[in-house]
Amino acid sequence: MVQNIQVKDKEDINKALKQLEESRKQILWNPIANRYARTLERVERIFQEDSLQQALDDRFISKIGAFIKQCREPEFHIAIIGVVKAGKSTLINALLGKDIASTAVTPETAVLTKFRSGKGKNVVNLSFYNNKEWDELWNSASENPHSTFFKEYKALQAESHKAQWIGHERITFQPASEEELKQVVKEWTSSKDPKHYFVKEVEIGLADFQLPEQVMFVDTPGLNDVVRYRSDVTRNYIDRANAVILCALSKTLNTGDLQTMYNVFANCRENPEKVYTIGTQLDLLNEPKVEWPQLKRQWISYLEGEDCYGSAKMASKNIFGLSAHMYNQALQYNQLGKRDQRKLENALFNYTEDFIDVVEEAITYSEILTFKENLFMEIVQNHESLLIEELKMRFNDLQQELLERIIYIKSSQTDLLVSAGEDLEVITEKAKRKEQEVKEMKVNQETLQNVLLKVQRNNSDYLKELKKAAKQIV
Amino acid sequence: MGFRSFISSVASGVSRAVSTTVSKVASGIGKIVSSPTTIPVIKGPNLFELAKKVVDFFRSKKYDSSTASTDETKNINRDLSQYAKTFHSEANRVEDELLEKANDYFDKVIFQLEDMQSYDDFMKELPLHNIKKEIRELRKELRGDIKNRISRAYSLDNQELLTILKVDSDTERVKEMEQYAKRVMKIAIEEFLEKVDELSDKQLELVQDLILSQVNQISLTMTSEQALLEELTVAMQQDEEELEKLKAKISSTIDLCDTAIEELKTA
Repeated sequence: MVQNIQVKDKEDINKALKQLEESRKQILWNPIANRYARTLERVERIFQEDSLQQALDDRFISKIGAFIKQCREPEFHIAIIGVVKAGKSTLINALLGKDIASTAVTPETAVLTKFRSGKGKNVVNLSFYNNKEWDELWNSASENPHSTFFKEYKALQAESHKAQWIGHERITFQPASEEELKQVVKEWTSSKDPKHYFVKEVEIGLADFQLPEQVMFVDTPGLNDVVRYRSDVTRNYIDRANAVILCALSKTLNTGDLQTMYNVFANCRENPEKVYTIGTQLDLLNEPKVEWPQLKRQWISYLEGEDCYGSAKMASKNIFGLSAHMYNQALQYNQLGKRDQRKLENALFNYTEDFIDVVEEAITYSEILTFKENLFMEIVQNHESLLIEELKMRFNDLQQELLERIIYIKSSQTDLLVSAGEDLEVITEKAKRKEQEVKEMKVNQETLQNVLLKVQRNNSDYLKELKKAAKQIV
Repeated sequence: MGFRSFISSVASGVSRAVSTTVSKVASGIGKIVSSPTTIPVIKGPNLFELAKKVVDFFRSKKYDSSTASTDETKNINRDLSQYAKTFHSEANRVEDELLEKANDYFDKVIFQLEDMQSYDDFMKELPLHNIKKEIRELRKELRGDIKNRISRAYSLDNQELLTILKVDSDTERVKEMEQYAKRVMKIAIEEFLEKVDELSDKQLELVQDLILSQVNQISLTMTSEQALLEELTVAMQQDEEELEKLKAKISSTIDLCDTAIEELKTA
């Protein structure tokens, strides 16, 4: 009996591919990535047909899957770090174009908070520490037994909540509105709530994300967290991030602020060009247009050395002055009370005495849009072009290998079709021979696996010896 | 290149050809596997030089982050960065040596596989050069790891260093710094070797993928051939209709392959 596999003709598969095309989400960040992913998704769809379902090796299928994922979900990480009271939340709000950070992220909270596109939906994902991570965190907190960490942990009786949250599965909320979203985030990150200790990461997907879709904007807890484990998370993040926005108050830069700034550079000595230093709250200066260039010169002198940017030119290029508060107020000008409207006008007056349109000019002088539209896009585009180059190379290899495999499968099927015209005796003989060959192949696979396993074991033993030898040298 | 030429070159003896390859791989790599593991000799960093640098640099360098001015902070940060740089060439030398030794075993395996490409049809078609490229990239990612760890240890972002820099007495500070310098070097090397472990796993995985994936592909196709031949035998013993159904099924699979090939060629 012919196995119960539905025979499909070309029209059926074309129909299936058409359906795929209709339901398929386009990749908007780059047309080449979209084309590559589309091709492979269509080939994947063809190989979901009954007669081909088992035709490709699993290892190879996962390689294709990983490539599609990279096309679909490229991530460009921008970490934001602020010195104390630098107006980091206000800047995040301005860059995201919505009032979300001030309430969403309490300054005392040591949770890594990621903002990204929710692709049309508001989503909050919470992940929790597992046992191993929590033990590491606890041990590192114990290095400083008199820190506020233990006092607050005790005061909130967090220990009695630990068992419930450590190792907890990821929780996802889909708030219906931005207000609801803020409430959810506040509930889980508030330092007044004991469960915040156990939250490892908050990922906020915004329905209306005003930055490129592939950008992951990350609010880090800072490098001077009382728990080293948590500041190490920030350190690693700075190291891996594609860009770092470092904000400090433009008006006063004290020793502590400078130390924080140097600490950020200490974690990206190999690529300081990825750090964008922002002098915040320019609108608080008496004459921003005159004072900021003077302050910037001073900042350049602090950051031009080889310990930071490496040259005055690069420092000058990467230091910006912004007025995020003025920008945010301008956006909500009509909802502001008279007093706040007057404050905004006064702030603008520091820039220019004869303004005509408060909103428009406050937005212009804030420099937020310039920063967002030019620089932001530029750094994302640079990253994109590198990624596309990598995707091109990988696609060519995958395409070639996939073609080879499919042609092999096709030729095997063509041979079988020819066999269908032969005598029963010949076919029976072929079937027997094939059975024998399949057995041989299984043995081959096993032998090869064992050889590779031995390589792995030997290599691991060798590395152990190397580690022992390395211990002796210092 | 690839399957096509290998399969067509060996015609009906695919499994025999693969068997030959596997036994060659097994004996070739077997030699490497069975050779005794020799304990590597590593030339460590020059500790005398290390101690001398500490004395020269930290003798008159005190810094208290709680009372320092911005200029003092700027100066110490630059000095520390300069100081860390004096370790760079030594760090790179140790790193090169460790990496070379750590990859020694693995490189022998790769060399063996590469050598087999000159005389084995199956091996010849494996895209070993792609794997070598990926391995180069992986190794490149590790470059400068020890140097970076040392730089971070000699920065204001290090509480332990800040505590030592605060010490009033020159002699005491230098003494503590000497210990610190040794610790920094030791930890940097240990942590680097942890990363080498990860690198090693990734490298092996790449080679496993390279060889096993293709052998698995051949095995899958053969298994499918065997099943269809058996179906064919049964169908022929039944009636013409069954045989036609089976032929249609095979033709449909060929059509699907053609569609997939077309998709890939027009990408």
